[in-house]
Parts: sequence; structure tokens; C-alpha cells
Amino acid sequence: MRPSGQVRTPLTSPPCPARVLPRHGLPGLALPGVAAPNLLDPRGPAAADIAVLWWVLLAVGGAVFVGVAVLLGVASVRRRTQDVAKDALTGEGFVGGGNVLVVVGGIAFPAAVVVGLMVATVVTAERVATVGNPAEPFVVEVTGHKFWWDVRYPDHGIRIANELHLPVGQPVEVVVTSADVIHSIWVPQLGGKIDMNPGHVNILRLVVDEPGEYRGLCTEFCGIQHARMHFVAVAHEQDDFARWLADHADPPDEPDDAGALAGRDVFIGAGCGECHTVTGVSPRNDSYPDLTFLAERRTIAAGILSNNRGTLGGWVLDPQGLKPGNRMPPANLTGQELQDLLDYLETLR
Amino acid sequence: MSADPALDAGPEEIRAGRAIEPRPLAWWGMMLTLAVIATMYGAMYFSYFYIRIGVTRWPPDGIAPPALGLPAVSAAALLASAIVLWGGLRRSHRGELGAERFGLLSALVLAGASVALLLLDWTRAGFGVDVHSYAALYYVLPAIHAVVLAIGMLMAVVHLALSFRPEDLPRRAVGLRALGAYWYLVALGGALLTAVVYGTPHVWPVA
Amino acid sequence: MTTTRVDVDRLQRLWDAPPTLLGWLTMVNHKTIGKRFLVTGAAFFVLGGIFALVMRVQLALPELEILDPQVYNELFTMHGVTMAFLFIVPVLEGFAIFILPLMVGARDLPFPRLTAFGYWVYLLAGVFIFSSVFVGAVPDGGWYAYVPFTGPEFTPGLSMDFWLLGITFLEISAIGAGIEIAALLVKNRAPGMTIARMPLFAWSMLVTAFIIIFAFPTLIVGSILLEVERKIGAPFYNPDLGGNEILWQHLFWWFGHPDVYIWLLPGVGIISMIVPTFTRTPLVGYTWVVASTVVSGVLSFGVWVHHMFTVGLPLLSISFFGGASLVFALPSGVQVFSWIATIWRGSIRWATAMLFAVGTLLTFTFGGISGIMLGVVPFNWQAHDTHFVVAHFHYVLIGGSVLPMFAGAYYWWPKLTGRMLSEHLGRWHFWLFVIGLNLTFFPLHVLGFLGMPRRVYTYLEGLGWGPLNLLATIGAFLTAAGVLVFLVNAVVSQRRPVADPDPWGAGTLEWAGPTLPPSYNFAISPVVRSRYPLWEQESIEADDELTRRWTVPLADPLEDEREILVTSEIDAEPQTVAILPQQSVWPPTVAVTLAVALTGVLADIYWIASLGLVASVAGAVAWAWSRKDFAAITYPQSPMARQTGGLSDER
Repeated sequence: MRPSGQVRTPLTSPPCPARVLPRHGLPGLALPGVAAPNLLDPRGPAAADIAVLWWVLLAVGGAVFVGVAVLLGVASVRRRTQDVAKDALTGEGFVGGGNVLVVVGGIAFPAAVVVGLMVATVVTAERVATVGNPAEPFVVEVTGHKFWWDVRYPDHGIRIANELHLPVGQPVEVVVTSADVIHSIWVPQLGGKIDMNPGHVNILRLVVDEPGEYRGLCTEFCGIQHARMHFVAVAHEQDDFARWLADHADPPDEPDDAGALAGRDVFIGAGCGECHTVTGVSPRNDSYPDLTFLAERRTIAAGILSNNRGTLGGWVLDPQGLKPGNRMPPANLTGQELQDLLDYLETLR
Repeated sequence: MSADPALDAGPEEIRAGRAIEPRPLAWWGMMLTLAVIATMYGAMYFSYFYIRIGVTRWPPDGIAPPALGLPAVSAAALLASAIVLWGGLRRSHRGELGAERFGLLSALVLAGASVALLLLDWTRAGFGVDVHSYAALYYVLPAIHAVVLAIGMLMAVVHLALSFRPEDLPRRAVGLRALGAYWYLVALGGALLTAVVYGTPHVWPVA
Repeated sequence: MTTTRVDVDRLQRLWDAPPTLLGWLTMVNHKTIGKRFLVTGAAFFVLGGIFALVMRVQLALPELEILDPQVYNELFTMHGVTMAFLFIVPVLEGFAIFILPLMVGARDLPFPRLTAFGYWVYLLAGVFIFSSVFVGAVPDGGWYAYVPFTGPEFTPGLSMDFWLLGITFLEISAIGAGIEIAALLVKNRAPGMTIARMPLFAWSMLVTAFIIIFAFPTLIVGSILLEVERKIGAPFYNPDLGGNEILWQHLFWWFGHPDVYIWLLPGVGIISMIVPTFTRTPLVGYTWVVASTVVSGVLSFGVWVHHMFTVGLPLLSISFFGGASLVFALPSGVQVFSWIATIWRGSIRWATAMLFAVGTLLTFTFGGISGIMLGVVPFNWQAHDTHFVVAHFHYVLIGGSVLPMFAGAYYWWPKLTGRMLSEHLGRWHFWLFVIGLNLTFFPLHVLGFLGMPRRVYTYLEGLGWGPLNLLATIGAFLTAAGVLVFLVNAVVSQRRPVADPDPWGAGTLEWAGPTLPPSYNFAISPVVRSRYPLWEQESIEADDELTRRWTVPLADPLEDEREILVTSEIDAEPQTVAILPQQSVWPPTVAVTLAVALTGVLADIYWIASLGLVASVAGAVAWAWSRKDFAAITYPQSPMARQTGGLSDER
């Protein structure tokens, strides 16, 4: 369904590349939900545990640094009363030669701190790695690509891209791998990250405490557009999530609008369907993002642009201008074709 | 005064032939170089087993387990080359240049044979280097070892040529000791590598 | 006792290289070669710094388009490669090459042609890597070059081959220096310099040398495997064909973590030389510091997996490596507290060198603390690959390597150049640099918490990352200004008067003798009876007959040879005299032929590669054979020597 109130604006000439702005690159930037993915603003128990751990580390580390600085300051202003060079026997082999300060400050005290930190490590790591136990985890699979995320719900036959829908309060096992190079999946407000290694499978356990939208990103350099490989983690209350799963079991309805139908022809005719899967319209292709529910996504281009008619149009015509080096070629469309295509894409919900 | 009068000698005493014989500096240099080479062999063993652990069938389907005949003889020849070299060097230290020449030559022939047998096995292996990591390890690790061995063989050839000039023996003395140490390490490392590459498919075919 | 004249002219004739172009090319003297390392390293530092400044400009505001992503990725890769491989290690090893023989009372390093070879290889490797710019194939996969990104499928073309071949070539230089430094410190210390009297910088370098020897070869093997995969498709790292990309990470970090101790330990050793001088106190806790240096060296091999906590390895194993990483607090703590204790005991003189030393102490401690935090595994799961890590390692690197380099520069400048650096300009340098460094890197800790990952060429507006990035960019320029002041200081220092031989009143041997040491360092070998010979000994000449028979005749060698004293490993008792080679054309020649061979491999022109290889082999043989004898006077006692009549008359 097209959002009401939107005016269709025909383009009168072939579009200029969106990077017409000299300094700032992207129009329509997307900041859904919480703006900065601040790991000290946790929304899940794993991230919360680590945040607490951090404050402990900060307290201990801060105290150590201040202590060292103070000792150094005091030491610096002390003046010796006698001439040193004459009174030190320094050449007698490895005999003592030490000092209380060195042993206490350099060995005893750090040893105590280190033992404490080791305990904290083991305790917290165990809690984070088993977060949500013993409840039954919900499984979602994510495969990293250059530079997008393929998200699948294997038990429900759902495939989407660049969004991770999660239930609140239930542990989720995010089963990850990569289709090409090493990526890494991270939602700072929910918990730690895990690498997505081609040929290997890793599992990240997450629990979300509050519904909302959280920014996730790739945190292993994966190539030219690593900087623009984000996604949105959307947490639903449990019944809302069940409804979401049910709604997405079936593909969207056929478009009833003439423009949208024409747009569907453009989708096939211009070759979009050779890469992009739309269930019932184009064949399944695991190498490129699934667009079946494109219109529902909060963002496009992997978490980078907000999803609206203007950005989508700009993206379709010049993906290289907005995200140079990604794998989508520009589409050569007339103004009318573009409008029809956008009409069609807006029905994909 | 030290306990040992020999330690009290100065340079004049050395020249008069009464000084002690510490290990020459070049010996230290060679030992440290061998530490580098030993670490390289260690990295190769680690790489082999790390890759092995990630693969279920070893060798993978489509490649037959390797025949052990040629590599066994190759490893034996390599170890034998170390033994004959040791014998030759020991005699050389006593001034018996003929024995040295024989030791060097035999070591060269045996080492050459060990490499030739590996090459022969490669021509019969029946798979390319790029089909699987098993193949990559099969060919490339022994090839790296062969290059390291070839450097030693080159040193041996040089000494062999120079052994025809007896007056050069004192000049070569330290170099010969260095060659020996190098050769023993490479022979051991290489024999072990052969055992790993050819033995693992038989000993650990399924992970 | 024989009387010996000290014939300075003769010694100079024997040890100086002729002032011709050929002399310049073939010279093997450690002081000159050390300075070449320093100058070349400084040039790479400036280059790497410029890369950083350009990156910081691009990141100053969100969504800037000053650089396109390809160029940015090349910049961050080359910034890391230049700083890690072409700056820090060469400068530290170059400095060690310069100062260690002077510090331990030796005349040169034991394998001078290897020293020269190491420099030429370094220079050629740097040129080789940077020539990638001229063919438009600059490495862009990060300094750490993770596969499969850097494998043949995702980085076709030559860029990674420049990295793999160039860095492997460079490592030969580092390994050579490591071998030589270890041999010097074990066999060529002045008589009486027992292992317990060895200066702490020498201890640092001894441990560093062993780290080089055991760490670098794994990267060489890993690089060979990757290069072979790129050239002929052997799938070591390709998971589709049974390979394992994680193998690269293990091989790289087994090298990479000890590598950072190669960067750190020399710097720490430098500070341990400077603090005693400017507090007029022997370093407190010498034994503990030696122990902590050795422990650091050994422990550095046991923590590499802490770079891989998010790879998906079993929790039990990563907990072990996390624990081992935390243990580093102890040797580092010993080091820091020994400095504090020394300052406590003594009275500080605030020379610029001491200012930098104190700066080191605080900066390194700060970085070390964030390192301990990163060693706590669950925290690492959040902070890994964010700017928190970037902040951490720049604090420990700049604190533990760069600030000590500057401290060492202000301290040893008279030995290097005969002049003193301006203390006034030094203050400006210090404050600009230190304020700049904190302004640049402190905000990055916070950016890590705000979720900013590493290696990103830009970032979205509205994420809140803008203001801190802008602050960091301003800080970077401030830091650069500090470096500029230093460069100016270095240049104008040459117009100042010649410095005193021992302007700081220091206690160690490198300060004995004239301001600029002669090519032979010491006419008569010094003798050491304490850790601070210039403070605690009436004279550094031997007074007993026994030792004089070793040390004095060096001043007037029997033959026209370069003689160096060889002493025992633990107690430094004189054992024999070794002959060092004079100028040789073979080190630069073999360096060039090896570079030719590598270029042939790079370009897939195998006849060039083979030619270069054959030429290198021939050059190596000529190198070995061009010596009259093998670095020692012939065994007079061996049967072989008796058979040939002792010393050969042919020389």
C-alpha cells in the first residue's frame, strides 16, 4: 500500500548521481530508533553484564592510573639528601637490588588485581555465553555478504535482508556464516560480536529486554564498503513477533494497481529479478538480497538510507554513487519506468 | 688468576698457539639461524595439522591415500645423508680430506635422491596442487623443505670444490661445522615432514 | 708485560672506510649503518604520519568525500604497514645497532657485513613495497592482511603480492639484526661486564633479538603459503576447498603479538637508561627488571589468541589466553614501579629526555590499563574491532615506542651527531606532541563505546560520532606540529657547538671517549666492574696484568686487521680475538639480486626470478669466500691447524 499523501513526481530528465553534494554524501540518512549504538546503553542482559563489568574495569583501571600518577608526582618532587653515585653497589651479581615499592607495586598488587579480573572474566563470560538459559532458543540464520546481510528463519521459511527481527525476552541463537570474506555481526546494545567465517558456523546468543530498533554493524573489515554494512535489529514483544512470523509466511498480495503491475514488468524486464528474489515473481537467488518484503524495511542499502520513495529511486538508478564498490549495477530506466517500478516495490509488504 | 692458566692468555699467546678455543662467533650465528629454520619447520607442522583438523576425510574423496614406498626411501636417504656427512666432517676435522670429499659427495647424492624420489612420487600422485588443501600441503610443504635443503646442498658443493685445496681447510673449518649443523637440522625436519605428510592420511584418515 | 703503543692513526686507517662512493656503498661500520636505519626510518615515520593525517581529515566530519573508499583503505593499510614494518622495528634495531657496541664496550657488531646487508634489504624492501603506488596496486587489505579477503579470489592483481613478497624480504633484515644483536650481547661484551652488569637496554635488546628469531619465521611460512595460493591456486586458506582461513590468523598473530613486544621492549630499555642518568641513581630493582624483561619475552608467545577472541574459538581456550594476557600486568608493573622507585630515590633533573621518559611512563601505563581491560574476554567481545582498540594500541605504541625514541634522541643526540638538540625546542616538541596525542586518541576510547568500528572510511551523520572525530583530527595536527618542531630541532642542532663527551654525567660505557666515537670505538678495550662504570670506577682501563694482556694489544694489532675481543657468555672473561671484515661489496650486491629475484616473482617473469636467484647464490658464495678467515683467528690448538702450521701465512 502506498503511504497516503505522497505526491508522485515525474522525473523530467535522467537523474544526476546522488553524490551531487560536494561534502556530505548521502541524502535521506537513516537513523531509526536509537541513534548511536552505545554499548553502555544496554537493552539485553548480555550487554548489561558487560556494561557492569566495564564500570568495574574503569574503577580499577582509573584507580591504578591515578595511583601511579600520584606516586610519580610525589617521587618527582622528592629531593635526595645525599649523593647517590657513590653509595650504590650495583655490580655484585643478581643480589636483591630490589625495593619494596617495586615488589609490592609491580608484583603483589597487580597479581591481586589480575586474579580478581580472571574471576570476573570467567564468571561474566559464562553468563554471556549462556544468556537466556535454560529457555529454548529461537534460531535465526544470518549469512554475511559483501556488503549486506542475508537473514533467514529456517523453521518458518522466511528470508529477508538487512533486518534482524527478534522476540523480546526469549534467547535467540543467531547462527552465522559468510558467503565470501570474513565479516562480524554486532549489535552493541544487545551483546558482544561474533565473526562470520566462510566455511565455518558460529553461534551468537542474544536476549533482548525491550522492544525497539537497534543498530547493528559489521565489525571485521570486509572490503570497500565495510563502512556501510549496517543493519537494524527489530525487537518485538512475543505475541507481536508471533504475528510477524505468521504474516511473513506468505508472500505479499498481487498488486492491483496498473502502475504497480507495469512496475512488476519493469522489475523482470530490467533484469532486477535475475539477482533479487521476490517470492512468486523471480527465482530464488541466495547471492543477493531478498526483496519480497522490501517496502517494510526501515532502511535500504544495508542500514544506510531510510527507506522512502526518493532514496529508493536514487538507489535503483545509481547504487554506485551512493555506495561505490557494492555489487549492484545502475539501472537504465526512463522516468516512467522508474515510477512504475517504485509503485511496484511499494507493494512489497 | 683464573683457575685455568689457558684463560690467562692474551692475544700474543693465541698467536703462539697456547690459547683456548672458544666456539667461533660464526657458530653462534649459525645456531641462531638454525633456531629460525626450526621455527619455520614448526610452523609447517602446525599448518598441516590445523588444516587437517578442519577436514573430515583425509585424503578427501577422489584422492587415494599415498603409497608409502617412495617417501619412506626418501626419508631414509635424507637421514642417511646426514649420517654420512657427519662421518665425513669428523674425518675432515682430523685433516683427512679424501674422507671429507667422500662424505660430502655421498651426502649430496643421498640428499639428491631423497628429493628425486619425492618428485617421482609427485608425478605419480594423480592430482593437481589446486584441487584441495590436502593437495596443497602434499606438494608445497615438501617443496619448501626441498628449497631449504637445496641451500645446504649448495654449501656442500662449494666445500666439495674447495676440498681439492688442502691449504684452504683452516679457512673452511668453521663453515664445515656450520654446514653440518644445518644439514642435521634440515634432515631431521625434512624426514619428520615426510612422515607427517605421507603418514597422516594412513594414521588419521577420518577426523 | 709488553709495551703497546696506542696508534690512533693506524687504528683509524684500519677501521675507517674510504670517503669515496664505493666506500659509502661497501662500508660495514655499525655506527654509520645504524644512522642509515634511523634516517630511513624517520622518513617512513613522516610518510606514515602523513597517511594518518589524511585519514583523520577524511574522518573529521561525517560523510565527507575527500577520499574515495579505495584510497582510504589503501591509506589505512599502508599506514599500518609503514609504521609497523618500515618504521618502528628498523628504527629500534638501527638504534641498537648504533649504540649497543658502544654500550657494552665492543668495537662493532660481530657480523658487520650482515649489518650492512640488513640495511640494504630494508631500503630495497621499502622501495619495493612503495613501488606498488606507481603501478596502481597498493595493498588495501589491512596491515594484517586477513584471508580470504587478501586471497586470489577477492584481491586479484598485484597489490597483495607486493605486501607478501616485500614484507618477507624485509623480515630477512630483521632476522639478521636479531641474530647479530644476540651474538654481540652474548660474546662481545667488555671484560668484566658480567651478565648481571649488562645495561638494561642491552637486556631489552637481547630478549628482543630472541623474540625476533622465534616470531618472524611463522609469518614467513604463512606468507609463503598465501603467495603460493595466489600464484598457483594451492588452497591453504580457501574453505571451499578444504582450506582454513583461520590458519592465517594463528600464523599471523603468533608472529604479531611478540612483534608488539619487539616494539615495546627496546623503548622500555631506553627509558631504563635515561631515568638513572637524570635522577643520578642506579636503577632500583635491576634484577626484577631483568626478570620482567625475560618473562615478557617468553609470555609474549603465549597470548596471541587475544587478537581472536571473537573468532568463535572454544570458551575454555580463549579464557586461558585471556588469563595469560592479564598476567602481563606483572612484568609491566615491575618496570613502571622500578622507574618510580628510582625517581623516588633520586633527584630529577628535568632535561627534555627526562620529560619524555616521564611521558612514556604515564602514557604507557594508560595504554597498558586499557590493554588489561581488553584482556577481559567478555569486555573484549564488545570492544574488539572498535576504536577502543585503536585508542589502546596507539597509547601503548606511542607511549612505549615513540616517546622513548624521542627521549633517546634528546639523550644520545651528541653521540649520534656530535651536537645537542635544543632543550627549548624540545619543550615545545614535547608538549605539542603529548597534548596532541591525548587529544587524538583519548576520544577514540569513547567512540568505541558509541559503536564506531575500525577501518571505516566514513560514518553516518546522526550517530553522534562527529564531535569526537573532529577533536581527534585536531589532536592529530597538533601531534604533527610536535613532530615538525622535532625535525626543525634536528636540523638546527647541527649549527650548534660541538657537545661535551658526557654532557649528562651518565654512567654507562657509551659515554666514555670523545663526543663522536672513532670508527673503532675503543682503542684499548674498556673493563667493567659495575653496572655504571663511569660513576663507580676510577678508570675503565684494566689495572691487572692479566686483563691488560687482552685489552691493551687491541690498540696495536699485529696484522692489519680489525680485531674485536670475544668474551665468555656469563662472566665476560676474555677468550679470544676475532677478526672482523673490512668493506665489502657483497652485502649491497646480494640485496639487489634478491630484490631482482622477488620482482621477477611478483611480475610472474620467472627467467628474471631465476636470474636473480642464481646471482644471489653466487653473491652469497663470493661473500662467504671473500673473508680471509671465518671471523676468528684460526684454531691454533686443533690438529688441523697443527697440520697446516698454525696461522696460515697467506692473508
